[in-house]
Amino acid sequence: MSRPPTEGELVAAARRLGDRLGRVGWQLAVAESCTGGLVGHLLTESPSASDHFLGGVVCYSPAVKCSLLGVPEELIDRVGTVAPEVAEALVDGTLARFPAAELAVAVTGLAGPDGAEGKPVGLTYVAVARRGEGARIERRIFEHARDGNKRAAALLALEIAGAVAGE
Amino acid sequence: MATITRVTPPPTPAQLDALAARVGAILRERGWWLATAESSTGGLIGQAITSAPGASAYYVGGVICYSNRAKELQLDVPAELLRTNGAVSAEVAVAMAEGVRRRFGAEVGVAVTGIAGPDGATPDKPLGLHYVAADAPSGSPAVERHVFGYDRAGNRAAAALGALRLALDRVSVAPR
Repeated sequence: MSRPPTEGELVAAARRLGDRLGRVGWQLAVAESCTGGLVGHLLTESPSASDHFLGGVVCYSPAVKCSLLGVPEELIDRVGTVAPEVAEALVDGTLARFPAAELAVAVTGLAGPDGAEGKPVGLTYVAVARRGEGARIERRIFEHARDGNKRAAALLALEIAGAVAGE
Repeated sequence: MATITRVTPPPTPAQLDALAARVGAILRERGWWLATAESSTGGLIGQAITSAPGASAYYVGGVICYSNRAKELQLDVPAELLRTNGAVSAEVAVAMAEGVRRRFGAEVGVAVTGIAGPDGATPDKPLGLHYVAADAPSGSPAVERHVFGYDRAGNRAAAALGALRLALDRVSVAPR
Protein backbone atom coordinates (compact mmCIF):
# COMPACT_ATOMS: atom_id res chain seq x y z
CA MET A 1 0.00 0.00 0.00
CA SER A 2 1.54 3.28 -1.08
CA ARG A 3 -0.29 5.36 1.52
CA PRO A 4 -0.79 4.62 5.19
CA PRO A 5 -4.14 3.13 6.19
CA THR A 6 -6.89 5.57 7.08
CA GLU A 7 -8.72 5.68 10.39
CA GLY A 8 -11.72 4.13 8.63
CA GLU A 9 -9.70 1.21 7.29
CA LEU A 10 -8.20 0.57 10.71
CA VAL A 11 -11.54 0.67 12.48
CA ALA A 12 -13.07 -1.63 9.84
CA ALA A 13 -10.25 -4.16 10.26
CA ALA A 14 -10.66 -4.06 14.05
CA ARG A 15 -14.40 -4.63 13.65
CA ARG A 16 -13.84 -7.59 11.31
CA LEU A 17 -11.46 -9.15 13.83
CA GLY A 18 -13.92 -8.51 16.66
CA ASP A 19 -16.72 -10.15 14.66
CA ARG A 20 -14.61 -13.22 13.97
CA LEU A 21 -13.56 -13.53 17.59
CA GLY A 22 -17.19 -13.27 18.59
CA ARG A 23 -18.15 -15.98 16.12
CA VAL A 24 -15.50 -18.48 17.29
CA GLY A 25 -15.84 -17.42 20.94
CA TRP A 26 -12.15 -16.65 21.45
CA GLN A 27 -10.63 -14.09 23.78
CA LEU A 28 -7.70 -12.03 22.53
CA ALA A 29 -4.69 -10.45 24.21
CA VAL A 30 -2.06 -8.26 22.57
CA ALA A 31 1.60 -7.31 22.97
CA GLU A 32 2.44 -4.01 21.34
CA SER A 33 5.85 -2.53 20.88
CA CYS A 34 6.07 -0.02 18.02
CA THR A 35 2.30 0.51 17.86
CA GLY A 36 2.33 1.70 21.48
CA GLY A 37 -1.31 0.84 22.22
CA LEU A 38 -2.89 1.61 18.86
CA VAL A 39 -4.08 -1.97 18.30
CA GLY A 40 -5.78 -2.02 21.70
CA HIS A 41 -7.29 1.38 21.08
CA LEU A 42 -8.75 0.26 17.74
CA LEU A 43 -10.10 -2.99 19.16
CA THR A 44 -11.85 -1.10 21.96
CA GLU A 45 -13.52 1.40 19.65
CA SER A 46 -16.38 -1.09 19.57
CA PRO A 47 -18.66 -1.10 22.63
CA SER A 48 -18.76 -4.90 22.54
CA ALA A 49 -14.96 -5.19 22.80
CA SER A 50 -15.10 -6.50 26.36
CA ASP A 51 -16.74 -9.70 25.04
CA HIS A 52 -13.58 -10.77 23.27
CA PHE A 53 -10.70 -8.46 24.25
CA LEU A 54 -8.88 -9.10 27.54
CA GLY A 55 -6.20 -6.46 27.21
CA GLY A 56 -2.49 -6.56 26.69
CA VAL A 57 0.95 -5.26 27.39
CA VAL A 58 2.56 -2.29 25.71
CA CYS A 59 6.14 -3.53 25.74
CA TYR A 60 7.88 -0.43 24.47
CA SER A 61 11.21 -0.98 26.20
CA PRO A 62 13.40 -4.08 25.73
CA ALA A 63 13.42 -4.55 29.52
CA VAL A 64 9.63 -4.89 29.61
CA LYS A 65 9.73 -7.46 26.80
CA CYS A 66 11.99 -9.54 29.03
CA SER A 67 10.64 -8.90 32.53
CA LEU A 68 6.91 -8.95 31.78
CA LEU A 69 6.60 -11.11 28.68
CA GLY A 70 9.44 -13.55 29.26
CA VAL A 71 11.49 -12.81 26.16
CA PRO A 72 14.98 -14.17 26.93
CA GLU A 73 17.53 -11.37 27.35
CA GLU A 74 20.02 -13.51 25.51
CA LEU A 75 17.69 -13.57 22.48
CA ILE A 76 17.47 -9.77 22.35
CA ASP A 77 21.25 -9.51 22.77
CA ARG A 78 21.65 -11.84 19.80
CA VAL A 79 18.93 -10.72 17.34
CA GLY A 80 17.76 -7.32 18.65
CA THR A 81 14.14 -6.45 19.47
CA VAL A 82 12.83 -6.29 15.89
CA ALA A 83 13.14 -9.91 14.85
CA PRO A 84 10.82 -12.82 14.06
CA GLU A 85 12.07 -14.78 17.08
CA VAL A 86 11.20 -11.87 19.37
CA ALA A 87 7.73 -11.49 17.83
CA GLU A 88 7.16 -15.19 18.44
CA ALA A 89 8.46 -14.97 22.02
CA LEU A 90 6.13 -12.01 22.62
CA VAL A 91 3.01 -13.95 21.59
CA ASP A 92 4.10 -16.91 23.70
CA GLY A 93 4.63 -14.57 26.65
CA THR A 94 1.25 -12.93 26.09
CA LEU A 95 -0.56 -16.28 26.11
CA ALA A 96 1.29 -17.13 29.33
CA ARG A 97 0.35 -13.83 31.00
CA PHE A 98 -3.28 -13.92 29.90
CA PRO A 99 -4.50 -17.42 30.81
CA ALA A 100 -7.97 -16.80 29.39
CA ALA A 101 -6.65 -15.79 25.96
CA GLU A 102 -7.18 -18.22 23.09
CA LEU A 103 -5.43 -15.94 20.61
CA ALA A 104 -2.51 -13.55 20.98
CA VAL A 105 -1.01 -11.03 18.61
CA ALA A 106 2.33 -9.29 18.93
CA VAL A 107 3.89 -6.50 16.92
CA THR A 108 7.46 -5.24 16.98
CA GLY A 109 8.98 -2.81 14.52
CA LEU A 110 10.90 0.33 13.81
CA ALA A 111 8.39 3.13 13.28
CA GLY A 112 11.11 5.69 12.68
CA PRO A 113 12.26 8.27 11.95
CA ASP A 114 15.53 6.43 12.61
CA GLY A 115 16.47 2.84 12.00
CA ALA A 116 18.14 0.80 14.73
CA GLU A 117 19.95 -2.46 15.29
CA GLY A 118 21.36 -2.10 11.76
CA LYS A 119 17.80 -2.54 10.46
CA PRO A 120 15.79 -0.27 8.19
CA VAL A 121 13.03 2.11 9.28
CA GLY A 122 9.64 0.54 8.74
CA LEU A 123 10.77 -3.04 9.38
CA THR A 124 7.91 -4.74 11.23
CA TYR A 125 7.16 -8.24 12.45
CA VAL A 126 3.72 -9.43 13.48
CA ALA A 127 3.21 -12.76 15.18
CA VAL A 128 -0.18 -14.35 15.83
CA ALA A 129 -0.69 -17.59 17.73
CA ARG A 130 -3.62 -19.62 18.86
CA ARG A 131 -3.03 -21.33 22.19
CA GLY A 132 -1.34 -24.68 21.65
CA GLU A 133 -0.48 -23.96 18.04
CA GLY A 134 2.55 -22.54 16.29
CA ALA A 135 2.78 -18.84 15.55
CA ARG A 136 2.18 -17.29 12.16
CA ILE A 137 4.82 -14.63 11.58
CA GLU A 138 4.75 -11.91 8.93
CA ARG A 139 7.51 -9.49 7.98
CA ARG A 140 7.03 -6.16 6.21
CA ILE A 141 9.01 -3.04 5.48
CA PHE A 142 6.69 -0.02 5.50
CA GLU A 143 7.80 3.16 3.84
CA HIS A 144 5.62 5.78 5.49
CA ALA A 145 6.43 8.42 8.11
CA ARG A 146 6.38 7.39 11.80
CA ASP A 147 2.62 7.68 12.25
CA GLY A 148 1.93 5.89 8.98
CA ASN A 149 4.28 3.05 9.87
CA LYS A 150 2.51 2.60 13.20
CA ARG A 151 -0.86 2.53 11.47
CA ALA A 152 0.35 0.08 8.83
CA ALA A 153 1.80 -2.16 11.55
CA ALA A 154 -1.50 -2.05 13.47
CA LEU A 155 -3.48 -2.91 10.33
CA LEU A 156 -1.20 -5.86 9.61
CA ALA A 157 -1.64 -7.12 13.18
CA LEU A 158 -5.44 -6.85 12.93
CA GLU A 159 -5.53 -8.53 9.52
CA ILE A 160 -3.27 -11.44 10.43
CA ALA A 161 -5.16 -12.00 13.68
CA GLY A 162 -8.42 -11.87 11.72
CA ALA A 163 -7.07 -14.39 9.22
CA VAL A 164 -6.03 -16.81 11.97
CA ALA A 165 -9.38 -16.42 13.73
CA GLY A 166 -11.20 -16.99 10.44
CA GLU A 167 -9.33 -20.14 9.43
CA MET B 1 -13.26 15.19 45.20
CA ALA B 2 -14.37 17.76 42.64
CA THR B 3 -16.13 16.55 39.54
CA ILE B 4 -14.79 18.11 36.40
CA THR B 5 -17.14 18.13 33.45
CA ARG B 6 -16.11 19.52 30.11
CA VAL B 7 -18.55 20.92 27.62
CA THR B 8 -16.15 21.83 24.84
CA PRO B 9 -15.70 19.51 21.83
CA PRO B 10 -13.74 16.31 22.58
CA PRO B 11 -9.98 16.55 22.04
CA THR B 12 -8.51 15.70 18.65
CA PRO B 13 -5.66 13.21 18.15
CA ALA B 14 -3.37 16.19 17.43
CA GLN B 15 -4.23 17.73 20.82
CA LEU B 16 -3.51 14.44 22.58
CA ASP B 17 -0.21 14.05 20.75
CA ALA B 18 0.83 17.63 21.59
CA LEU B 19 0.06 17.19 25.28
CA ALA B 20 1.81 13.81 25.33
CA ALA B 21 4.89 15.47 23.81
CA ARG B 22 4.87 18.11 26.59
CA VAL B 23 4.73 15.38 29.22
CA GLY B 24 7.53 13.58 27.38
CA ALA B 25 9.77 16.64 27.31
CA ILE B 26 9.57 16.98 31.10
CA LEU B 27 10.13 13.27 31.65
CA ARG B 28 13.19 13.41 29.45
CA GLU B 29 14.53 16.45 31.31
CA ARG B 30 14.05 14.74 34.67
CA GLY B 31 15.32 11.37 33.47
CA TRP B 32 12.09 9.67 34.56
CA TRP B 33 10.32 6.69 33.02
CA LEU B 34 6.59 6.60 32.44
CA ALA B 35 4.28 3.59 32.45
CA THR B 36 0.57 3.57 31.59
CA ALA B 37 -2.38 1.52 32.82
CA GLU B 38 -5.35 1.89 30.51
CA SER B 39 -8.79 0.42 30.90
CA SER B 40 -11.47 2.44 29.09
CA THR B 41 -8.95 4.19 26.82
CA GLY B 42 -7.69 0.82 25.56
CA GLY B 43 -4.23 2.02 24.53
CA LEU B 44 -4.93 5.56 23.36
CA ILE B 45 -2.57 7.17 25.88
CA GLY B 46 0.28 4.87 24.84
CA GLN B 47 -0.52 5.64 21.21
CA ALA B 48 -0.32 9.39 21.92
CA ILE B 49 2.88 9.09 23.95
CA THR B 50 4.55 7.04 21.23
CA SER B 51 3.52 9.44 18.49
CA ALA B 52 6.62 11.44 19.49
CA PRO B 53 9.88 10.18 17.98
CA GLY B 54 12.32 9.34 20.76
CA ALA B 55 9.56 8.27 23.19
CA SER B 56 11.67 5.21 23.95
CA ALA B 57 13.87 7.52 26.05
CA TYR B 58 11.10 7.91 28.66
CA TYR B 59 8.23 5.49 27.94
CA VAL B 60 8.63 1.89 29.10
CA GLY B 61 5.16 0.76 28.12
CA GLY B 62 2.09 -0.27 30.02
CA VAL B 63 -0.86 -2.50 30.50
CA ILE B 64 -4.14 -2.46 28.64
CA CYS B 65 -6.28 -3.90 31.38
CA TYR B 66 -9.61 -4.10 29.69
CA SER B 67 -10.86 -6.90 31.95
CA ASN B 68 -11.02 -6.96 35.76
CA ARG B 69 -8.89 -10.08 35.72
CA ALA B 70 -6.17 -8.18 33.84
CA LYS B 71 -6.29 -5.46 36.50
CA GLU B 72 -5.66 -8.11 39.16
CA LEU B 73 -3.14 -10.23 37.29
CA GLN B 74 -1.13 -7.57 35.50
CA LEU B 75 -1.38 -4.67 37.95
CA ASP B 76 -1.91 -6.28 41.36
CA VAL B 77 -5.18 -4.42 41.93
CA PRO B 78 -6.68 -6.31 44.88
CA ALA B 79 -9.74 -8.40 43.93
CA GLU B 80 -11.35 -7.15 47.13
CA LEU B 81 -11.01 -3.53 46.00
CA LEU B 82 -12.58 -4.35 42.63
CA ARG B 83 -15.45 -6.09 44.41
CA THR B 84 -16.16 -3.42 46.97
CA ASN B 85 -15.52 -0.26 44.95
CA GLY B 86 -15.98 -1.50 41.40
CA ALA B 87 -13.50 -1.15 38.56
CA VAL B 88 -14.57 2.43 37.93
CA SER B 89 -13.54 4.05 41.20
CA ALA B 90 -10.91 6.43 42.53
CA GLU B 91 -9.35 3.67 44.62
CA VAL B 92 -8.92 1.34 41.65
CA ALA B 93 -7.49 4.14 39.49
CA VAL B 94 -4.86 4.85 42.16
CA ALA B 95 -4.09 1.14 42.58
CA MET B 96 -3.64 0.85 38.82
CA ALA B 97 -1.23 3.81 38.70
CA GLU B 98 0.77 2.47 41.64
CA GLY B 99 0.71 -1.06 40.24
CA VAL B 100 1.95 -0.15 36.80
CA ARG B 101 4.64 2.09 38.21
CA ARG B 102 5.90 -0.75 40.41
CA ARG B 103 5.54 -3.55 37.86
CA PHE B 104 7.31 -1.61 35.14
CA GLY B 105 9.98 -0.09 37.38
CA ALA B 106 8.96 3.42 36.29
CA GLU B 107 9.08 6.70 38.22
CA VAL B 108 5.68 7.78 36.94
CA GLY B 109 2.51 5.74 36.57
CA VAL B 110 -0.66 7.01 34.88
CA ALA B 111 -3.99 5.20 34.93
CA VAL B 112 -7.50 5.54 33.51
CA THR B 113 -10.66 3.66 34.30
CA GLY B 114 -14.13 4.65 33.18
CA ILE B 115 -17.43 4.01 31.48
CA ALA B 116 -16.98 5.11 27.87
CA GLY B 117 -20.45 4.00 26.84
CA PRO B 118 -22.88 3.67 25.27
CA ASP B 119 -23.76 1.05 27.91
CA GLY B 120 -22.44 0.27 31.36
CA ALA B 121 -23.95 3.04 33.46
CA THR B 122 -25.38 2.12 36.88
CA PRO B 123 -27.55 4.10 39.31
CA ASP B 124 -24.48 5.47 41.10
CA LYS B 125 -22.08 5.46 38.15
CA PRO B 126 -23.22 7.59 35.21
CA LEU B 127 -22.25 7.15 31.61
CA GLY B 128 -18.99 9.00 30.92
CA LEU B 129 -17.73 8.64 34.51
CA HIS B 130 -13.95 8.35 34.53
CA TYR B 131 -11.20 8.37 37.11
CA VAL B 132 -7.68 9.32 36.10
CA ALA B 133 -4.73 8.84 38.43
CA ALA B 134 -1.04 9.69 38.37
CA ASP B 135 1.66 8.48 40.72
CA ALA B 136 4.97 10.34 40.54
CA PRO B 137 7.97 10.99 42.79
CA SER B 138 6.63 14.47 43.55
CA GLY B 139 4.14 13.31 46.17
CA SER B 140 1.29 10.96 46.94
CA PRO B 141 -0.83 9.70 44.02
CA ALA B 142 -3.27 12.19 42.52
CA VAL B 143 -6.70 11.19 41.28
CA GLU B 144 -9.46 13.11 39.51
CA ARG B 145 -13.08 12.31 38.79
CA HIS B 146 -14.62 13.35 35.49
CA VAL B 147 -18.02 12.87 33.92
CA PHE B 148 -17.78 13.38 30.19
CA GLY B 149 -20.81 13.92 28.04
CA TYR B 150 -19.54 12.84 24.64
CA ASP B 151 -20.09 9.67 22.63
CA ARG B 152 -17.85 6.65 23.23
CA ALA B 153 -14.97 7.92 21.09
CA GLY B 154 -15.21 11.41 22.56
CA ASN B 155 -15.32 10.12 26.13
CA ARG B 156 -12.24 8.01 25.50
CA ALA B 157 -10.32 10.90 23.96
CA ALA B 158 -11.37 13.20 26.81
CA ALA B 159 -10.27 10.61 29.38
CA ALA B 160 -6.88 10.27 27.70
CA LEU B 161 -6.51 14.05 27.73
CA GLY B 162 -7.51 14.20 31.40
CA ALA B 163 -4.92 11.58 32.29
CA LEU B 164 -2.19 13.34 30.34
CA ARG B 165 -3.10 16.68 31.97
CA LEU B 166 -2.85 15.13 35.42
CA ALA B 167 0.45 13.51 34.46
CA LEU B 168 1.75 16.88 33.23
CA ASP B 169 0.72 18.46 36.50
CA ARG B 170 2.44 15.78 38.60
CA VAL B 171 5.69 15.65 36.64
CA SER B 172 5.92 19.45 36.63
CA VAL B 173 6.23 19.41 40.42
CA ALA B 174 9.82 19.05 41.56
CA PRO B 175 10.53 15.75 43.33
CA ARG B 176 10.54 15.71 47.11
